[in-house]
Amino acid sequence: MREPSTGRTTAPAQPFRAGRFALAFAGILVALFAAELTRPIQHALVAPWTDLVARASAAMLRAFDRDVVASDATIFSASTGFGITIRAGCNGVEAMLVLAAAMLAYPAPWRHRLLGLLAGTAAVQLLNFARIASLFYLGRWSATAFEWAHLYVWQALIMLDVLVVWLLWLGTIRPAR
Amino acid sequence: MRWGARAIALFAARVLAWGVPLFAAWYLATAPLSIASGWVAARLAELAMPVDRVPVRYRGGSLVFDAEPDEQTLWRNRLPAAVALEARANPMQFTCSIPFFLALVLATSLRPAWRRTVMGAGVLLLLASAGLYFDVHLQLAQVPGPGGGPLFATGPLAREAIALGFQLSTLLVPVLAPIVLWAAGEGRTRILPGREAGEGG
Repeated sequence: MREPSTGRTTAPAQPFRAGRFALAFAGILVALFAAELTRPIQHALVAPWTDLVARASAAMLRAFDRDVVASDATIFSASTGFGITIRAGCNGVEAMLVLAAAMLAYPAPWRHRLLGLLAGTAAVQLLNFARIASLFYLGRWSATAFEWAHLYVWQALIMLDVLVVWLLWLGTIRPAR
Repeated sequence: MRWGARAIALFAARVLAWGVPLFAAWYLATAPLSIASGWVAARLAELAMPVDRVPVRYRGGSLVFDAEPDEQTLWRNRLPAAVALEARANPMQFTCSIPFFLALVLATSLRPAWRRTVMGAGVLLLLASAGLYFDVHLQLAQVPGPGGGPLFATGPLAREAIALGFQLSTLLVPVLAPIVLWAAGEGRTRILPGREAGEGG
């Protein structure tokens, strides 16, 4: 649907209620997060996804650095032996769950939510690749810089990415009159 | 008022720009923030765990908690009265939410509602304390007693709840709580729908 005044492609939405959104967001997020921590989901989805993220990151890094090798969820340097293991919190899953909860809690058509989730997943994983690459090289250079970037800086940057994606997605939804 | 793509990009750039001095300031203020959050975490541990006292000290960027088990735990495990169990935690992992929150607030407006901003930072400090408490409880729950079983008797449901609390406190709360608090304060009047001019509130 095209809005004549702005030319933006928009989707119609139901009225927004902040309280209802907050409750739905919290409920969906806790349910998704608790489900993610269960053994069957970890085994069937999270672990294979983490391996895939590690292998894809290693493949992309290898495109310009032949020294990079991947083994399961670990990426390491063949020459120095330095390696990083991608674990829960480093695979972008939590950020994707937050984005999914925010999009599912917001009153929007399902097609719009699905498109938002696909685009958002791509955006989160793209930045996550940048995180993994930067951490790999930072770790080779300085353990302190690695710890700072890993524990404090990148966590915030990934969530800022989620917020930006969600705000952009909000802008494509026509407000209800 | 909703933001367009350009306004969102500018906002993100401002968050990044504010992030640099604010994270530096947070690093300089690590000791007092850690001591404050550690003190509250120790009180939470005293309330929720079978311990008499949990003195806490700040050493080299870490918090060291020395939990003194209560009489019943000492008796059940046949331990001497002077036993203290040590748990170490990294407070920065939990308090890093504060500079992120302030960067979001200042990127939205250079004249934020200071009372609300200070309250938001206070809430984040309390959440950091809760995260530290979960970290300490989880570590101490895994300490084996002389008989081989866990020293502290914890039911399976409580164990799961503590593990979930720890996971939430480390993976989600430090990065999500600042956004939620920002959205509830500065962000609410500027970005969320239903707040357009004439709609009140």
